[in-house]
Amino acid sequence: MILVLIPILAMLALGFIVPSKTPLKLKSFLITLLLCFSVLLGLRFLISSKWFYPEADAITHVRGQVDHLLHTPGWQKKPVLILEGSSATEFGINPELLEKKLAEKGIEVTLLKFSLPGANHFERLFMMQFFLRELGKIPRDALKQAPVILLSEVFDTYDQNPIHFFFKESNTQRSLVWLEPHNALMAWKALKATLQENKNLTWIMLEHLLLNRFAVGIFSTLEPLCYQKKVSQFCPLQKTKGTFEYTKTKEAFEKSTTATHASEKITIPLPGWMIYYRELYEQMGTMIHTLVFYALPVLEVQRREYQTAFAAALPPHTVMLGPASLKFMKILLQENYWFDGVHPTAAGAPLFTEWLAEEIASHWSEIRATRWKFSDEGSIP
Amino acid sequence: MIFNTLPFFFFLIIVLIVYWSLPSDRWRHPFLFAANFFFYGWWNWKCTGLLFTVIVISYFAGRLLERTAELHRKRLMVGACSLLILILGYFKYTNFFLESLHTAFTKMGGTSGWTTLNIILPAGISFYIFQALSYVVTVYRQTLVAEKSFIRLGVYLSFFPHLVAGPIIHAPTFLPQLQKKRYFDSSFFIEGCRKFALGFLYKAVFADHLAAFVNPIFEKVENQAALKLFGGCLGFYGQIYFDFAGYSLMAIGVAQLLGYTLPENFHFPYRATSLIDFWRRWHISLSTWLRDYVYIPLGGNRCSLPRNYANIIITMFLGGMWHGASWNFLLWGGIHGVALCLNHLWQRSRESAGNDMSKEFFSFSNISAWLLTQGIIFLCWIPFRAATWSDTLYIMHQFFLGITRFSYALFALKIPTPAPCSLPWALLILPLFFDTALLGSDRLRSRYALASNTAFYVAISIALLLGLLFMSTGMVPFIYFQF
Repeated sequence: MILVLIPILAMLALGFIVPSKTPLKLKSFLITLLLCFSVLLGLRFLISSKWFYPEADAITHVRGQVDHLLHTPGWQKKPVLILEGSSATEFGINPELLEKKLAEKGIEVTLLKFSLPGANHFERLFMMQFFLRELGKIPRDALKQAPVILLSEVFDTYDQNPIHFFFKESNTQRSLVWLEPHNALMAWKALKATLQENKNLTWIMLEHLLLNRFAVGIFSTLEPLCYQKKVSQFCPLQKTKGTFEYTKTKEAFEKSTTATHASEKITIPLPGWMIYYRELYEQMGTMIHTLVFYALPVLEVQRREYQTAFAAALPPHTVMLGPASLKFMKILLQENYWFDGVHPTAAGAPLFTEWLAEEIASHWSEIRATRWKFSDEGSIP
Repeated sequence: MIFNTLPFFFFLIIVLIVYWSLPSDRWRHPFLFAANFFFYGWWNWKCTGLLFTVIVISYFAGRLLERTAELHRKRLMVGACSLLILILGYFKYTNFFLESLHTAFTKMGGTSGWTTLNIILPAGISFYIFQALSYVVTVYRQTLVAEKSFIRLGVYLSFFPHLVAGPIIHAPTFLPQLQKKRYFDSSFFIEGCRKFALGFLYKAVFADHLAAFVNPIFEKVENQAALKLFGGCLGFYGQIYFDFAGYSLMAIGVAQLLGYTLPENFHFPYRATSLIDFWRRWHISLSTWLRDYVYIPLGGNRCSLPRNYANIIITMFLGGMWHGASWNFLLWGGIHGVALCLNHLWQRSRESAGNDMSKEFFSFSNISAWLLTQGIIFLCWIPFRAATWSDTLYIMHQFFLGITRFSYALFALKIPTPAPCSLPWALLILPLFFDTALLGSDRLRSRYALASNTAFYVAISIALLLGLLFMSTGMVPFIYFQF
């Protein structure tokens, strides 16, 4: 409420402050203007990040996870499982239930979930970076001691376009917040390597980078910045989407499982996608013990085929959970379990979570034994 | 290109550097002409052809008007104006008429088989066509000599600061400026920066934040509570002012950076104590245009009283129609026209009774006149903003019900609890209040003004800085772009 008075005061100053009788000097004006903008840039770098991030979901979400970690007793002594993904993970995996199911199987872990609907690879990278920044030095060192296992979601949309949804979310605080200089450069490289037509996107990315550096619209929410807003870790989708054609999708899925012909060859878009994992390795490689891929159950045939192709393309030492078996998929063939062909409803989410717990448990010894080493140039890490 | 975006910032910097580096107007005018087309083409390059065509028509019409014998001049002027109006009509009103005819046929039980055409509405078409009309008519009236230089006329019609959302510049105001030699005047330049900064605060901070509150309410008015609808309308009352006045100020500021003066387009319209006063303060360039090129040619007030009132209503209808091809705008113009007639009637009766309005603003008569005027303006914004007729009627109906219930509750001494609102009510009107009450008061500004060059520089720089920090990143388009 008080914040709104600040631009009002600026408006009044423009009306009530007038030049004196001596002529105005352009040089003095430009120096003042430059000083003001230097102050702005200086503030952006000097003041604690706590005060310089807007109310973007990525921020509040990570802050909630930091809080969860630091309030979990003895977290340093247990493996820390980090789930990073998009809407499928956000609406499909209940972290509390997953922790509980794993504990029942004798696997004691602290679970952190970094997922946002529509979060592309570089927004997720930003979430990880911000997580490390927010942790503080002592917990960060402790995290290096506890084995960290990163579970990375496999999803064709984001793998094929590493900055997917950027257009849709452009000119919002959400996009501005993750486009820091280094991330912007990485995203641009990924874009260049993956997509052919990127001239327009390059310009928009540069625009966002500048807006990010000058903290444009930082107070636009006109709300005081709070440390942790989004505490709830699981908000499932309640019922099937009105426009979702369940029967048609189900029939297509069943047909694909009985089809005798070989499905179309799917290429894994390596270059753009690899930049993300290389970055992740460079920034968190010493901390992450194992990188595990997981592909959540999907009803859409094309996406499932991508998951299968992805799993087949992985080198032997890499762990991949999924795609879900046909036997399990048959259990999921009920309309009330699906919001659409990708996301489960509140009724389907527990089944998704239990499936993931089962997969982790069955691969647990393999996960613990594998150490992540990034292999560059054309192969999946 | 929108003024509050980064591409425009870069464009402006480059234009200013190149423009002032060029040795004389001989070079500056062609450069400005090219810059104007680049600015316009950024949005949709295909539309630059239309802008060019309008310039060509105006140029040759002007040149021919000078050479043609008196007998045929009127015909030539009417021909050129008709051509320009046809262009405007095709792009702006074709689909509206087709839709209206289709609806009328369907309601009468027939089938028309007409479908709407796939026509892109070029940004700012109403603004530059009105300027072209102003030029042709002025040359015809011989108050201005036809421009000999095609480039100079092109610069006037396509001048990028006011190209897409006004103000509408009358040819006699701008063309003589192009003929004079330009010198860089730092005081004039910095004053331009002040206007731009103020406009930027209006648009990017106040209008866009109000838009975030207002737009969702107007997107789906059904099932909204009367109080929330009232909040939405109140928000729009502020939003439209900050949006359009903000754009106009930025346009005037940018023109000043290039060394040109554009006339004031808004003069604190919400201080108006009558509708006559309001139209002297709101979108001044349009009301002046309508007065000079519609109202006066129709006969103005130099005719019988009923004819005078008919002229007012016709002018306001056309003003409504200018805003867009929709029955809602016609209704808006119509209400303003009728209300203006009543206002004139009231004023005449007061004058004949020898009763002059009080000079003191805070007198009972002035306050009640202000409340009544602003109430009418507030109600008129409803059809202006609502997407459809049914939305307008729904909002009006809810207001009526709400007022009835509130009055009943007051009568029964049961004060109703207001519906929860996502934006504190005070925030809707706080910037508007400070702007209208303090900035709009010449008395206060002259009494408490601080004269200091350094403070002036700091105020502009900080205002720009705060504008950036507080601006909405949602980039809400200017409302008047659609017109």
